[in-house]
Amino acid sequence: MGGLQEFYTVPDIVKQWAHYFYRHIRERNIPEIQSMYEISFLKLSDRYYKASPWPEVQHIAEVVDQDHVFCLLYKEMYYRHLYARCQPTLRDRCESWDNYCDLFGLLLTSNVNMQLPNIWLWDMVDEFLYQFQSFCQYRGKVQSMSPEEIENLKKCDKVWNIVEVLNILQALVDKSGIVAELEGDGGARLCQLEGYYPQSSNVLRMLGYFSLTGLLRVHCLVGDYFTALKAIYPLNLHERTHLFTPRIPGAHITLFYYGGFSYLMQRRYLDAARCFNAVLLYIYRVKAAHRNSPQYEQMLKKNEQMYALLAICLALCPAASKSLDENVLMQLRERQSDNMAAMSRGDIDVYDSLFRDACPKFVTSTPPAYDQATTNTNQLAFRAQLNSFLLEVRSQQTLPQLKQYLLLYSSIALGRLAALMDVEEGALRQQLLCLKAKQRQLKWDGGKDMTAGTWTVASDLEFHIDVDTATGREMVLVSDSTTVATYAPLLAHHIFRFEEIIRDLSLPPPVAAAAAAATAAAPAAARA
Amino acid sequence: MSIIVTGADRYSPEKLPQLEVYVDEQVTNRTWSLDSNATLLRFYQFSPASVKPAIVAKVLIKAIMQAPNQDFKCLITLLPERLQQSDESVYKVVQLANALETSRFSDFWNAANTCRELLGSIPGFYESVRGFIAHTLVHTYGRVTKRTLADCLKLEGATLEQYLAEKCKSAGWSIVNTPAGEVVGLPKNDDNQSVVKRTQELIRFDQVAPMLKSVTVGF
Repeated sequence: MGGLQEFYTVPDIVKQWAHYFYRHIRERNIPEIQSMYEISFLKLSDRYYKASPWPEVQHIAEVVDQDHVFCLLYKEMYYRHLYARCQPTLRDRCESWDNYCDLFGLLLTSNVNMQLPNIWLWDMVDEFLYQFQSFCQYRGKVQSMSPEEIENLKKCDKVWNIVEVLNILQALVDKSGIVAELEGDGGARLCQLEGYYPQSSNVLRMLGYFSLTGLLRVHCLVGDYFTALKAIYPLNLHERTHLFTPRIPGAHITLFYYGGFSYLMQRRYLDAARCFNAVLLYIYRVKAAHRNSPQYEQMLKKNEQMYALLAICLALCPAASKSLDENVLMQLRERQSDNMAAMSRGDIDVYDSLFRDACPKFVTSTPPAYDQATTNTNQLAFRAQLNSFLLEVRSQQTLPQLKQYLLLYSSIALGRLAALMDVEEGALRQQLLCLKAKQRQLKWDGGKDMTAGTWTVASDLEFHIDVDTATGREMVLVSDSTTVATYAPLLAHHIFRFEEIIRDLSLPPPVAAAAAAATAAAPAAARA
Repeated sequence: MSIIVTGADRYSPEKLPQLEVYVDEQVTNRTWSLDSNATLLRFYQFSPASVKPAIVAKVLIKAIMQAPNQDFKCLITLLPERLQQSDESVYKVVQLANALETSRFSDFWNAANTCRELLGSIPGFYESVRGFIAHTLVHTYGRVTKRTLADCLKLEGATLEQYLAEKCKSAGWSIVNTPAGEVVGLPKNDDNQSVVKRTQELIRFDQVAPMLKSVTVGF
């Protein structure tokens, strides 16, 4: 070949890694594949490729028999590493898109027999959507691009096209038959065998399963919250007995983050709080186990975001706090008590900043007008959602103050209340109607459709307006609901905790015994 | 004809003309399908060149008619802001929806006056909206003055009397006489009367069962 070609050496250890990785995949040795995927790959990356990409596929093709499927899989990992550690160019983005099309195309059409670790399959879907979001962000920054970059971009209108992305995800769902399978037994077999059914491949099945979450995510990113919740059928966010996602933290957190957010934007705060409660408890339980995993930081970030969203839910619907677990409530108070106090006073800026921090990175699904390079179009999608949210917040802005007044009285004439609040009677009537309307929301109460629900009243204050038949005056009457404090769950919880403590105390301390034996031996040795 | 949009149908752009025709059908037949309309608006978002603002306005008006369902809220987040502001009829419809959502009924009727032909072209609009307003009133008022009722529903004189007579027959409303004039009594439900709720604590067996094991040790 030409003398200008660089002489590229691949370290032997990397070639060995590729060779054994390929062998293990051929032999369907799942534990080995997983260990090489999770541990060895990261170690080698840190050692040799900390800020540069791995060798291109042609350099390792010879040690893997030029196997077509393995090369596609390797390229998937290659681009994932590139996106994480380096800055991808437009060329890299296009090539990665082509690779995903080839890889998914192959998995959809030919009958592969291999088994891959579920975490890898989840990472594939997750990375696919992350690169999609990244491309939309990149494409929107028109004003900082050179003219030739813009020319090249104009030619790539099929690359990372949203309709194509959605069609790929839907094809994975359809071809894997996952919907029929989950409808049949509610996911019991999948959970039991973790997707590794003997004599068959788990790849398409699990890709289909994770694509359900993928569809939810993409719909949220374009502001289509109704279809987002419809798309995860038949996964059930509220009855989670046979949900497989808890085995893979990334999948579980993504599912509930976008699910809860979809409920929040549809003004279903009770359902949203329920989702966030479930996943925040989950993170609370498992985060210690994942302290060393590369996804730990991402987990913590989502944790913070979801506490912010939960704070918003409670500010807009205080009655939702009744369904929260006490651990979650405690953590929430620790992190967000200032914000919650400000929001209950009607401070729009706090709502704004919390939403900004916690919302997903919305995408503008269409390419910008390249010739009118004026603004960053990524902000358009975000601002549209933000404004929609703030509109809802503003419509409730005067209500907390009204509630404060109502709490003081059991009955008060409408005219008198208007005078006290310094508003017109007409305006007061409108506010009372608004308060009543806002207290009613849809709540999921069974069935497989996540968008279904019945109308429930979610309020901590019940009132109504009546006309006194004797005098003809309008009165606002506030209901008196006495709640008896429930001690049973609290006592049960503490009994259980104390029993655990007592059990731990009554165990013979193994360390102390060994130390006692050691200290007994040392003086004996010293004396001897 | 009703189009069911599930699975891959959601993402095939060839369906676009079919969905547009379906909107007109929903208008004439007074039906509604949130799935297909959401798909339509989603396609409009993906390819702004094919947007037809007239159809968007029709879809949004139909969505308002579904109140108190939050269908309007589900659809408005799909529309780019530019479209909401550039097209006059879409802008007006958004204002109408916001007024209804916050129970500013006088603002709603004022705005509705400015686009009477548009709203008149959708059969059943005024009935649905009045139905929603009545629904809100029923859940807030035990008894409401005629004046308030007239203002909220924008009905006067003979039409108001006719409306009330119908409601008294079919929906359990009643007319009560008071010194200050006639007052309309609304049907009783959970929301518009004083209910003193005493929530009892019931301790269930499954809450106590885990503890019984340790408590009964030694028996």
